[in-house]
Amino acid sequence: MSAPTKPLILLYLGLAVSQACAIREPFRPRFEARRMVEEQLGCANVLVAEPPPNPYARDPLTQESTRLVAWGCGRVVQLRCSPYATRDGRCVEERIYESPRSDEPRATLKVLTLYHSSEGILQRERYRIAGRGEIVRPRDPNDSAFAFPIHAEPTRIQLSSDPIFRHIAHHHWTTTETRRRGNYNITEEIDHYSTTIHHYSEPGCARQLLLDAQPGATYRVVFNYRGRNQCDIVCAREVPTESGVVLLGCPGFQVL
Amino acid sequence: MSARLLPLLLLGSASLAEAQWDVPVTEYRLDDQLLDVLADEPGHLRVPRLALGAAFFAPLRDNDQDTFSLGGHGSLAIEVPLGVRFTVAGYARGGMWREGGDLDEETRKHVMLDVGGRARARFSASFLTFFLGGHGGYSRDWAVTNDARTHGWHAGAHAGFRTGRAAAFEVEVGFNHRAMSDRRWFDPYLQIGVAFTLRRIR
Repeated sequence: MSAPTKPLILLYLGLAVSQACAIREPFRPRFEARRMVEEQLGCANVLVAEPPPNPYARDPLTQESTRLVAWGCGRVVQLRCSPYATRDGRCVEERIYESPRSDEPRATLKVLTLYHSSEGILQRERYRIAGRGEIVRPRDPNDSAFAFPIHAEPTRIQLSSDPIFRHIAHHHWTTTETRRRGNYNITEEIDHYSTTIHHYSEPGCARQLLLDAQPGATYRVVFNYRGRNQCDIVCAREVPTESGVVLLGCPGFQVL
Repeated sequence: MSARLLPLLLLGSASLAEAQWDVPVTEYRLDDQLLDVLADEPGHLRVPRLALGAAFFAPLRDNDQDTFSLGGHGSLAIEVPLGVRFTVAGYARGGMWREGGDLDEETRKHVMLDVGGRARARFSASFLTFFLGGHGGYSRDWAVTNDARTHGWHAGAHAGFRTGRAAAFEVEVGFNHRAMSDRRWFDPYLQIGVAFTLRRIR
């Protein structure tokens, strides 16, 4: 083998070893999840895979769970399974929002949540589009709008924001261990410590709006969050002009 | 509050922070993403895969003939549902190889075109997909500066792994039979390469 080959082979082997060492998951939920989903959907030969990250499903409360997509029995479902639920629990079907298909008439909705007060460690925002699923995401750190396509049709949307709290519990317990050494029994007390962190949300504020979305239109919705059950919604339609964007009223807009 | 007044209120606050509204539209459709997902599932890939990569080729026997070749290769693969992950693929790759020894400099550089087929079985462990397979092909070379031609066939086995859904690293060992006028070579070779899936075609 000629000299130039050796460094490249070493480089390749280095890459291979580094990739192999990157296996982090302590267990593989796929096969267990497949069995569970088969039970849930009621037929055999269901296939399960981990879908790519979904920007509409960035739930800060469920970051530690596993998102799966399963297909079989004539259905495709998105599931969320907590890591240990795949061993002896069950997966929960998710109804995550999906963009309109490219051949469907669509409008664009921009949602900006303005926080006039906040509590907890984070706010969890949910946009429930009636009949189409929901978008879940954490509060934008830059307080920017979130834009997504909607079907051009009368649309009912519920906007909500809930504070997330963190509970840290420190546990301490003692066990005793007896060992025999020679003719003596030696009893030792052993201290154990552990910490569990639990995240939970409490109801914040939610409002529903009705919008008659027109094809090609862009709407701006401001969701003013002022505290528990104190919020309001305003809506404007973007109309591009030569001098910039002019904001007009939203057709069919109602706060329910 | 009147709907007519709302845009004015919104305009007042929004004009102060227009940048907050200047955001890209985020799209997601599961069926678009399923193409990627399906590609990693046994028996469910109905979409061809187009991959491009680069390989480093070296003969295992130092015989003053080939020294190395470096080139790109593309492949079009269709997985067939046979119960296990079994892929058959055709491929074409081009590259250059160089002759060593005391041959004239002009004869040393060859352009190579190699076509062939391969079959591989795949199995997954965590996010790594390992594969093991065999392949065979025919190659033809043209010297860059003179009329020297060689052609021949090769066969071998390859193994490797893919990370995620895009990149594949593979090691290939095989035998290469090459002929040029009255000369013949029959050499073992080693090839290491990396390939990236460009896209999956519906």
